[in-house]
Amino acid sequence: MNYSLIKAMVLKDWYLARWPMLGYFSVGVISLLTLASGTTTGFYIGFILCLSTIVVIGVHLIFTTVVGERKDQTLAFMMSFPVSYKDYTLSKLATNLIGFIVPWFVLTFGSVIVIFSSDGLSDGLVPFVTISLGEVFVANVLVLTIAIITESEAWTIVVMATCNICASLFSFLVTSFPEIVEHMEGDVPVWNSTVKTMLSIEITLVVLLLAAIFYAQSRKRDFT
Amino acid sequence: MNEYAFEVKGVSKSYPHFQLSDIDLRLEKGTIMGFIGPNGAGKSTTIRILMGLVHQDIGEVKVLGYSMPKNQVAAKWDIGYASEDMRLYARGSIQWHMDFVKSVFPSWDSNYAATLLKRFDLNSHQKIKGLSHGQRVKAGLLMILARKPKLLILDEPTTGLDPVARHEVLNELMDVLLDDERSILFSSHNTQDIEQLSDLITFVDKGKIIQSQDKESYLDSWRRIRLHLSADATLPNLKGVVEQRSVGSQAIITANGFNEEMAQTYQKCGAEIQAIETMTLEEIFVSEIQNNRQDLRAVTNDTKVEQGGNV
Repeated sequence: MNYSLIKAMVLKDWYLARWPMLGYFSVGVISLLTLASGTTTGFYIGFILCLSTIVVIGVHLIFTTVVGERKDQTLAFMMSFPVSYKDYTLSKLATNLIGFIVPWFVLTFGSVIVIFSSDGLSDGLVPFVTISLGEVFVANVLVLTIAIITESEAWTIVVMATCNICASLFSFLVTSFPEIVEHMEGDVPVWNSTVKTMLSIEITLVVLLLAAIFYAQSRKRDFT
Repeated sequence: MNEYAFEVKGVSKSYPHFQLSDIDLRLEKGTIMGFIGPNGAGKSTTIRILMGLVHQDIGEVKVLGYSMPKNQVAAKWDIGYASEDMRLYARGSIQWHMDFVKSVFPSWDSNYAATLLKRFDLNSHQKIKGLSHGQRVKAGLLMILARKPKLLILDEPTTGLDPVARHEVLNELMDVLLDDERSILFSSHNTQDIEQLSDLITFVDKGKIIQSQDKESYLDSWRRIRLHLSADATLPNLKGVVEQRSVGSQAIITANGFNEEMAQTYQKCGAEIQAIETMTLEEIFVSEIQNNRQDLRAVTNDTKVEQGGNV
């Protein structure tokens, strides 16, 4: 494994995406400030704005660094470097996962801290918020998996659109569980078996999707 | 020590609508091979197999002594690859690309890169998206030439270039060969470029190598013979005649493997030789391809007749 070249490829991708990322970062800061304004309305507006920003960051990175590499015909340039398919795949995973996880982590912890420190918000919301943010993470990894495996803009758009539609349905699904809903307005977060099962499913899905990427890439015989 | 820049033995690769069959090819170090074929002949597939970007179904590929695709990482340190459909990053400047390539390849020669910038008349601060096609091609070549790779694999690098840009690019490639250890595989359907640059000529058509030999003897073996036929003259079927066209008393023979005996035989048959002309690579290329396709059609028809007979 050529780690120095993988690092160079990751830095290259981030450099090329730096201006849009800076823009999203600015929107993210505004949404975090709104989220931490201390009012319930501010929390919900800030949360939705922040969530949207994170989704857009993930999608933008996937489209510019993975789908764009094929569409803009720069893939052959990168593959002419002394890299294996595995190196290339690892670099794309690192670019996208780190680029997504950092703002996702900030939002997750920011939301939890705001919930705990705000009088107007029930601490019982924390499990629901964590599950919802977990779904956003799984959806991002799914779109990334499809983009890396198929290198197809059309398939990536289809999966991305499906994930966005399913996000609302997922919220309905989560709130349909009485074990979750009945504790949402409680004073303490309740991490019962339903919550733990949902989080475990999300983690398992992420691991399976990442394994699927390496399995599919190792079977590819044409990489141009 | 390996004397070949690359060796390809019995390589085949199947796609649903195309098959590369039984490719045998080798390039000695310090030489340049022109790889010619019509569109869809299999040039790019062969080149991608050499780069390890496409895995062959069967056969052995060694590039700079490394087995491909298994050892492609080691081999690619010393291969410079450019293709017609390869692009640099539109949002990066030429300087950014140079810095990026330099950060990866210790062999990067900054002085040579600066020289190439001047020779190619490129502005290092310009972004790729603002460059013309010719400037993009030259910038791409700069990125690989300044690395000083031992083997250059160029897939149609001069396609779409104006004559001035083509001249600049070809001159630079000739300079590369001043170093005896460096070799070039150069694919194109522009026979002029190949004729100007190559030591070896390889023709590919319909996924098969139909000819591969040194340029001088290859060009020398082809002739166009213009004959005036007497009323009772009958032209014999001579070995090496690729095409024979007659209109009235005039006949034009295209021959591969021409020798004086051939001319004497025609004269004995009552034909007067009006001219024996050398042929350009383009004319030879067209004849080779047409001849190959006629042979293929004949084989296919024979097979159909045989199969019909068996039924």
